[in-house]
Amino acid sequence: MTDLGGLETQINNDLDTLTIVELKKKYLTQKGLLTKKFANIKNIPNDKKSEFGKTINRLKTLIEEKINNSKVKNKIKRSLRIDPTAPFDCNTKTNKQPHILDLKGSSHILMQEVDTFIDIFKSMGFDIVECRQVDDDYHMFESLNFPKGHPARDMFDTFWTEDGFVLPAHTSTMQNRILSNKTPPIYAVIPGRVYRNEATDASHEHTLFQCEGIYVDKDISVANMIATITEFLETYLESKLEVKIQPAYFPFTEPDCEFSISCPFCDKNGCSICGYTGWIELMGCGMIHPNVLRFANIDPDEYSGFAWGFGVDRLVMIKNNIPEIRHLRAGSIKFLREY
Amino acid sequence: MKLPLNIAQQFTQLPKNIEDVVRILASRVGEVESYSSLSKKYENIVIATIEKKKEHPDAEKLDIYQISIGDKNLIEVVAGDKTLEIGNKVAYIKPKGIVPSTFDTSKPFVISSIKMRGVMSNGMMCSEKELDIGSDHKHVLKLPQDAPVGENFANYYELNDTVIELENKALTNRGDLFGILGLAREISGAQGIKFDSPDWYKKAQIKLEPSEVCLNFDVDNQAESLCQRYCAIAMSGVKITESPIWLKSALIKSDIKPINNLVDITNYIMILTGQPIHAFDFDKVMKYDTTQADMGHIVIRTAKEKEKIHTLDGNIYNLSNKNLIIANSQHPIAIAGMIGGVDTQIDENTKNIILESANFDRYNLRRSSMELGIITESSTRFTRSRSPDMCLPILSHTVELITELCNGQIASTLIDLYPLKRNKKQITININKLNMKLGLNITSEELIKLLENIEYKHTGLKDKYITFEVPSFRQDLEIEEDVYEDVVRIYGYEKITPILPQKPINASSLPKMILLKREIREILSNSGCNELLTYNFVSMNLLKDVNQDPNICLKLKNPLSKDLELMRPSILVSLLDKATVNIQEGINSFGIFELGISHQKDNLNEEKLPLEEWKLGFVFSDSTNSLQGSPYYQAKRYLEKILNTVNIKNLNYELVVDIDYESTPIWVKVLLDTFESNSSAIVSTVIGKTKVILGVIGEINNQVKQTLSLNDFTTAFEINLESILQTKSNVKKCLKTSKFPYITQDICFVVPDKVMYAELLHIINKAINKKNIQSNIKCIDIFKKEGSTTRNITVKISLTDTTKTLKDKDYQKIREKISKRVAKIDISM
Repeated sequence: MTDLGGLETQINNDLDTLTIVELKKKYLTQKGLLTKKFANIKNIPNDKKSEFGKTINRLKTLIEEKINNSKVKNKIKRSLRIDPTAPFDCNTKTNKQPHILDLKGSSHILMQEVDTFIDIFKSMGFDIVECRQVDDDYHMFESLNFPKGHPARDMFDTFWTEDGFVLPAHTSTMQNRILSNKTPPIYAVIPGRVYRNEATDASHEHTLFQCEGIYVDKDISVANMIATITEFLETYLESKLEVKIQPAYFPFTEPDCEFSISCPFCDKNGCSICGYTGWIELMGCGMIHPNVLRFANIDPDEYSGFAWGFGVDRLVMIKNNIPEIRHLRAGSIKFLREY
Repeated sequence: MKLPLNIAQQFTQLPKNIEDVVRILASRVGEVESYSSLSKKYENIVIATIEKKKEHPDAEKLDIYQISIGDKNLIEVVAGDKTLEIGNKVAYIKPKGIVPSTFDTSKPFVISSIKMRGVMSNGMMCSEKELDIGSDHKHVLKLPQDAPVGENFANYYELNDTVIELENKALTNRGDLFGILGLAREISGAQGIKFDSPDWYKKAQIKLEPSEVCLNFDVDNQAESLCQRYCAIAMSGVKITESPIWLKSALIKSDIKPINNLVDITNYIMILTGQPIHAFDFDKVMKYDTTQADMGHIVIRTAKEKEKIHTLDGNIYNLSNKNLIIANSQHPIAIAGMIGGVDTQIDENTKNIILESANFDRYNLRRSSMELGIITESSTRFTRSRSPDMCLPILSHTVELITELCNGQIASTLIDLYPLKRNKKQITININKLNMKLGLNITSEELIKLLENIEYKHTGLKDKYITFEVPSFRQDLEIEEDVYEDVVRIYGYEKITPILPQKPINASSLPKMILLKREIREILSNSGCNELLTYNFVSMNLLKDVNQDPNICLKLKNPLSKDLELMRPSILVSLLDKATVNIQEGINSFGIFELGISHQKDNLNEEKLPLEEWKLGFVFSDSTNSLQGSPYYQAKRYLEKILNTVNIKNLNYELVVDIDYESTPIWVKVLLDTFESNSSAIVSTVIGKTKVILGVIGEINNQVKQTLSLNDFTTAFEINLESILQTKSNVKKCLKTSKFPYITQDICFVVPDKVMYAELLHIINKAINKKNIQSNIKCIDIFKKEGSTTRNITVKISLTDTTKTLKDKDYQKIREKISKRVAKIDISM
């Protein structure tokens, strides 16, 4: 605490000597001194917290004002008019003309994995439909048998926009569209981005990638469901798996369950990946609720089906030894080039 | 939901091994969050008696006690509770013992022998709070005089038990499983043992009659749609005391603090059955009613605007007409199903009470609970589906316990408002369908036994159809499939043999968009670029920094933070932000891209939902001076690499400064100010006769570069992949190759500034366009003298004929043709 005074003197000196970029880098960036200091607030006694916070904010404003003022002073130069159809600019030396640089490129590890399992599902005869990223209450909840005010809505910490749209918390938001669009048999897999309104940490993110599957036909059973999901997972993880099904609750399936597999990394002996339990809980699944079929004008007496949904991020982290979920969307090239 | 095993044991036989109980619950009921043995928590705590007491020589507030734990040695302990006296029985933690209230925290507090103001204190005498069995932290807990000295505290307090905690989520529609009885029933059924609920729970005919009516009250249900059933009865002569230890311990194990015998009984009934019971002080209900009525009034109604209630949690809540309340004829006395009011609370002087056992609408209750921010043991249970049929039998048992433990007498007739009494529900199961859907092969006998074990009543059997009467405590069973779930749970999923479905061998193909994205991903990652994934959420500040209009964005009503409150209107917003991050991380030269969706507020599709089109955003940045000239051209290099590969022809570039701003689509408009208008362009192509805009490309606006601390050489593009799919040509032309040599000449054109390179190229192409002639044209230099209004463009033109060797004079002819044509627009060679 006592060194905040020191920091203030330092800032006052730097305000006159450092450039704007240097100031920003030294104090305000993620690794900047002020940012780091502020992160320290959790170690400050409660009665001092507010004062500490105020001081930090005052110092921050001091630097920001300096930066803003200088922006006004330095008049921004406009670039000159170019010929947009030319292949390069006037007077460019041959070796400095536009060219593809010799750098290490990469496609995102998450998308690589998504491509892998999309191909597996395709080989099993599933259609692929991408998920919407903003949707409405009807698709996200109502058509999935969540009446308005249903407590199960609490299971999903959902984001809403001011115009009343909902950010899908699960890829099931596409179920009704797919089921309504076609007469059975229907085999579809839905990869897509979903959101959860929850605080982030090493293993929680507000933005996630999920993969949903639905299968509707005559005489479809729980036994079919277990076999289909197992077939996919064994192909994807390239190993023979034991599965464990546990009861769960989702309004859009009946019966509903949680699907776990024996840990393919330790052969059920227990390791850090499975939390030393020998099992990894992978997804929710179940037989599609008759009401969901009815909402899509499918007769539940004639057809039945199953659905599943799993989070891709965790699977990718497990498979690639990524310790923190936040790495996936931090955009750091250093991280991305590793994969 | 917490399940103390010793209590469950009173109702059914449990497996001996705790792991087996956990396994049954996890595989048959729902996810087990944790389980822990309380004896560990109370290890090293024994009952002691105070033998001697003296003042601390150096601290007024402290005293020195000598206590005995049954052996000859007296132990010296320092404490600051002046009310302690010789002979008191206390709970004493030995050195190395852990303070129970800190046991489950990240920093358990271990007691040691320490000097307190110069006097050695060997261990600690605990308060209720420290023992985690109550809230009093000022006084050392005084145990009853008959507490056996030296006895283990957990033993004496009946806390030697294991508590299993189940994840509430899995029980969302099972109000009955929020009571120990319900869980005991499931465990029993899973072991194949028939469960038998206690008689009071099953009782159909309830008689609750007063020996003498001395407390008069009535109930007026003005909100029948929100309160399906309301049972109430008055009792007189209750004596409020401490609860017996068995009762306290039952609550402590369920994480509920004991208060007094009456309140504890209502809570005990709740943890047993899942049915919350509330008790009002009858005299306070009367006194608080200034109409001086000669009888009590209970009104169930929605609150009036601006009505307030001071509740048992110490808060004052402002109610609205959406909140259901219990009131006397004037004031709210409880928020229905959630929490009682202070004004009618039970205290040590309470003599007469009104007991309430009711059923409230779970949806309304949930909404009120979220709005008011109140989550209680009671609201948690009411928001799960509870059966109104159980209100009365459970009330009746509560009355019995109060009679027994508080000396209460029934003092009014029973009031039972249940206007829409339900018939017993029957569900008929088609056993063939059940076996088909579950993939099982159960016989009718097995099915009947399995369901009767969890108290279904079998009422009919005809061929494959078996009819059951649904237990009255089950509110979740509506349709056949609900019963299937009970069957497969109790029977065990592991008994199902997985069989792949029989499916025709139809081939499936990937959507064009997925294929296009894959292609782009491959081109760019093979060209040294890195694919990023970023959030759809951006901050107001970031949008301002990149010169994009925040008013165009969808705004979140409940963002996680200010930094994440807007939905990005373009992919470039996020990419430019990440460019800064990577520059700070010391990457000198990079190309990053993201395939994503952006949203613009009023840009809706036919479903009236925000239009979602896939976009490719790309940012290139370099600080190594390996490139020269406007950075625009570097982005163009990458863009054309993609567009050539996916076969898009007839590209057209129009400087942003020259375009008609108003006529551009909204997703383009939002991007324009992010670029330098003199060195950026809208790129389009033509399909048929329609111009299709592909995107915006160019140098990043100099102001934006400065604000975000980007390199001077920063360039970007954002293109719409729907437009690409729309204009992408799948026709490939097979060019005949020439076996004759090429003739190559460098030709220099002097081109006025107003004439674009594309025009020159177009004329050249037209001039050499002749049957059998093939050409390669490459620009090798563009030179402009300072101050000049023309520039010299040097183009290498290679020509060949597919039928014969091209001669110099043929080339010369073509050259002259070119010369003549370009002269028309003031170009000289």
